Amino acid sequence: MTGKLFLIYLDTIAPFLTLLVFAVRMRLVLKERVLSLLFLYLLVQLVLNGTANLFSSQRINSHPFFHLNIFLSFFLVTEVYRSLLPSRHGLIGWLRVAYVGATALNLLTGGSIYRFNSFGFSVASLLVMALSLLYFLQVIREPTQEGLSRQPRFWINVGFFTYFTTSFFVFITYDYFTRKGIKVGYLWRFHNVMLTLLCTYLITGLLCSRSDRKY
Amino acid sequence: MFSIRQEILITIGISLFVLLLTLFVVGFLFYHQRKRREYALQKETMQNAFQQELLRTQLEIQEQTLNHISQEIHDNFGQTLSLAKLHLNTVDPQRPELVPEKVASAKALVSKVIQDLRQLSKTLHGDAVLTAGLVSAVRQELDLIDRSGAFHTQLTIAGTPQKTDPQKELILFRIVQEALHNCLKHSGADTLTVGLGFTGSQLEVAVADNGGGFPATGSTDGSGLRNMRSRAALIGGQLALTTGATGTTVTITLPV
Repeated sequence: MTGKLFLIYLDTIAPFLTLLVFAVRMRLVLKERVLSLLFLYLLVQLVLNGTANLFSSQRINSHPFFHLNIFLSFFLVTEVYRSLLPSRHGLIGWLRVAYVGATALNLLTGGSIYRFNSFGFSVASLLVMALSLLYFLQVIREPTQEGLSRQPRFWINVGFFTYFTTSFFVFITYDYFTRKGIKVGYLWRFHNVMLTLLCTYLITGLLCSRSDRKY
Repeated sequence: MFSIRQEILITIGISLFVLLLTLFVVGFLFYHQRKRREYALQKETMQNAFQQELLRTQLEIQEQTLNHISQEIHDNFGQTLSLAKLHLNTVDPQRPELVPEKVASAKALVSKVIQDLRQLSKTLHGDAVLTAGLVSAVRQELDLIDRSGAFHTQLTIAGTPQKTDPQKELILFRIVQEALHNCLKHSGADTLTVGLGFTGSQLEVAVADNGGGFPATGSTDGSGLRNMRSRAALIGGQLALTTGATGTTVTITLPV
């Protein structure tokens, strides 16, 4: 496999390898709600990115899978944040409503599931970034005796924060470039590296987790 | 304008810059938490040191009180009661004209013992400083020194006395006690003055004697002086020492 091909399929390889690590600690993953949600999130990435790659290689439009991916991902990630930010359930509910509304509006005003949904991806990224920052604020306001590096929740949040913040500019410009008929492989490969970084943080979070830890 | 390739590179560049920012945020959080934990640890250490010092001070005051009682029993009550017993022993029934005088003397001596016992019982309260306050405790301490007859003492109060944290007052009182005892032991003075100055934001306590002074520099502080300094620092105060041929003054300044 060449380096370029490896980077193209990294959005499938990284979740696959991370799922393998999660599978090793399956008992803990099944016991802890956050880890179970992350397992589902990684499964969504593996299946939908893998299918999209397969369709792309056959020159079939794979964008509907990306639409489905961001939709499911957003709900799984916000579900994770419902556990990380117990006092923000109401806000998370409103963010979900806002996201569904924005996506529906986008589809009704000229959006298509056969084009990259820059709007939906960007809105989802912004909302997740806001939740990540709220979590950081919570960390600053309510310090715990335990070091940050030993807190699985912290690493999970760092992962989502890094991924959605750095990928935001990729998401927001992707449709603009593809509309011009330009192949934007560089951008998606960069996104794949960021997804790999997210997977690394999630593995770090998993490795910090103990069966007696409360989420 | 930019070419498409440049636009893509700019997008990736911005994303990389944002990645750096996220790393900075994470680094800042680690730094912030470490500092916070260090601060909490330092605070806990200081609180522990304060509690230990408080306990030590209470024990020292109790020990001093017991020493004082022991001394009073031996030097005062023992002597006076022995004298009263002597008067009663020398009552001679064969000489009835002398009996009333001897009994009256014995009664006077017993009355003095009772009065002194009442006075002593006030000092038995280990927490006298906590309950009566600093001014009262210092006055009582000076009375005790005065009663020895070897020293003349004086208490001056400037401003309106204010109640501060009783635990801090206890430690402050112990510093005053130590300064007074240093004067008694080493100064060769005959007059001791304690000045208490209450201003809105701080309390100043000055213990002065009219002795010969001593050659003191910061580096040659004896253990007693170091102890007083560390105690003053523990309650957030500062201790200053001035000494010369006309006497020595120890000043403790404490924010209230």
